[in-house]
Amino acid sequence: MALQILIQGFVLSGLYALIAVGFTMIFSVGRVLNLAYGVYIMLGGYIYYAALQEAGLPVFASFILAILAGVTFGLLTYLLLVRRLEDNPIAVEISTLILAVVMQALIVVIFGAAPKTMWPVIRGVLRFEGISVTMNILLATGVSWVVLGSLMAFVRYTHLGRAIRAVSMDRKGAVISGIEPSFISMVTWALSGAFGAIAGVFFATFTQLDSHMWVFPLIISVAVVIVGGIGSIVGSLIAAHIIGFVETITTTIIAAELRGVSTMLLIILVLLIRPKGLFGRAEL
Amino acid sequence: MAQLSISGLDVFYGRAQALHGVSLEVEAGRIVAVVGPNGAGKSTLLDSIIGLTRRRGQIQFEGRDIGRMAPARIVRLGIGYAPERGNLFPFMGVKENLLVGAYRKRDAIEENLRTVFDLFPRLEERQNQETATQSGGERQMASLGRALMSSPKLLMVDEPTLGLAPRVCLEIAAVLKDLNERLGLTIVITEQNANFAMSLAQEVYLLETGRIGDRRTPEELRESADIAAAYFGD
Ligand SMILES: Nc1ncnc2c1ncn2[C@@H]1O[C@H](COP(=O)(O)OP(=O)(O)OP(=O)(O)O)[C@@H](O)[C@H]1O
Ligand SMILES: [Mg+2]
Repeated sequence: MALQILIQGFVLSGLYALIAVGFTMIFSVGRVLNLAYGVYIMLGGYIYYAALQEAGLPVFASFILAILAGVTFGLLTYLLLVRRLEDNPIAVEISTLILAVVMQALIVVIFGAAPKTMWPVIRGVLRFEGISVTMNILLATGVSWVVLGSLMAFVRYTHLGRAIRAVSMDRKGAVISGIEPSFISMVTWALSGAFGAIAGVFFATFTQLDSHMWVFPLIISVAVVIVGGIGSIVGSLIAAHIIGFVETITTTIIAAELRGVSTMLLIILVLLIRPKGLFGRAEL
Repeated sequence: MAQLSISGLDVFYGRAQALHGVSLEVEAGRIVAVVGPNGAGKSTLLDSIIGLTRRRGQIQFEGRDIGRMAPARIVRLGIGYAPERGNLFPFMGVKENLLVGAYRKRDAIEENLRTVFDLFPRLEERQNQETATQSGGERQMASLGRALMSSPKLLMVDEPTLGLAPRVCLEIAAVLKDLNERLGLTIVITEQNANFAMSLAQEVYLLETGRIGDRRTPEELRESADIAAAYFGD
């Protein structure tokens, strides 16, 4: 059972880290909670589904379309909504939440209210020491590590990536270095949409597609920000693993019905004992 | 013609006016100080030159009107700025901070790093230290270094001696002099410490409650009674 918890824990945490990273990026660069973030995940899932299972496009093309949809929607959220409300975080939070609810309704109008089942991205099962893991989950974990690793390299070793971190740490310092924060915000929102969509494709293959599937990933993302207290990518990774393992342990050892509950309790616990999060800083 | 020329500059924070018709001329290759007490508008003046404030009036740099330009363009034209307290990126190492300074000047990174590390060997020794953990003096050095990474022709430094020990002030002064004499950099500093400003600058402006006086040399200033009362205590 220990091995099973270990494998499941890592797999789940990897997915959670991928889900949350787009959300934490926005938080650390713009200091706002994008409550429409779950929509990028939902959109990723639905566009992938429509392209692959309805239009019959190849897997790769469907994936690219899903990512493009996430990027476009992320950019639109920023340009049409957030940029106009930038100095008012509460207004951003309320309006992004409303946007999410509107998108939920729109999904029902377009795809119907009945949940849809997605095919796994790849098929097959890997058996190891009496434990079986689907190839789809392994791929999701692998993709999530590759994506997160590339993101870390990007923000560390490129001018643009460093500029994103610079804006998150000291806006004035960034501006006088010649960085344009509005451009950096656009890049960040586009990336956030892309990460959301990638996470969404995998997330939907594990659960199913339905019009309120944006809620759970949003809770995970908020939990990662609260537990990590951060936008630091490494911090989000650690927070995602804490959340993933706590969930795996409670659902395996105590009761499967506790899925999700443990994460919420963890949020409250951290708010009570370390309101600034376990690592307590807000920079990328 | 002056390299930097400002006339009738008004700056507002909301409804409050922080600068009233400020005019100032800086000749290329000079060191000019703007001296004034807390709240006089020193930081506001430098922020306005780099394009951070809501401003009205004329600001010309090398004949170009920069009074309505965005900071990114002004930086590219050749103005570097080390603001009060640095505005460094606290969770980046020293070298990464410097590299951000090169955001608009990527073809001279190696040279500029060499220049900065030669000026401040301590930064090179601790190039991976996060600036959050640096001493005040080291932070001032990193901030100057970051401004130099864009290969500026004019360097603005807001209160270079703020909170620093006398020995470190001297070190900073020596570096600024060296940059001016050896590299021909034009330098504009602001100061509350009139003695420091007059020991370094060839020309001094007094700024008080958002209004600026005439340009004077340190010698002229030392003789005038008003400055003695205002800035040298007793
Ligand atoms: N962001 C701001 N919003 C509103 N008022 C401001 C702002 N920044 C400065 N001020 C006001 O403008 C005036 C000039 O401030 P400024 O910081 O330029 O003075 P300073 O000479 O740099 O002072 P110090 O020596 O304390 O740094 C002050 O009255 C200050 O309260
Ligand atoms: Mg000041």
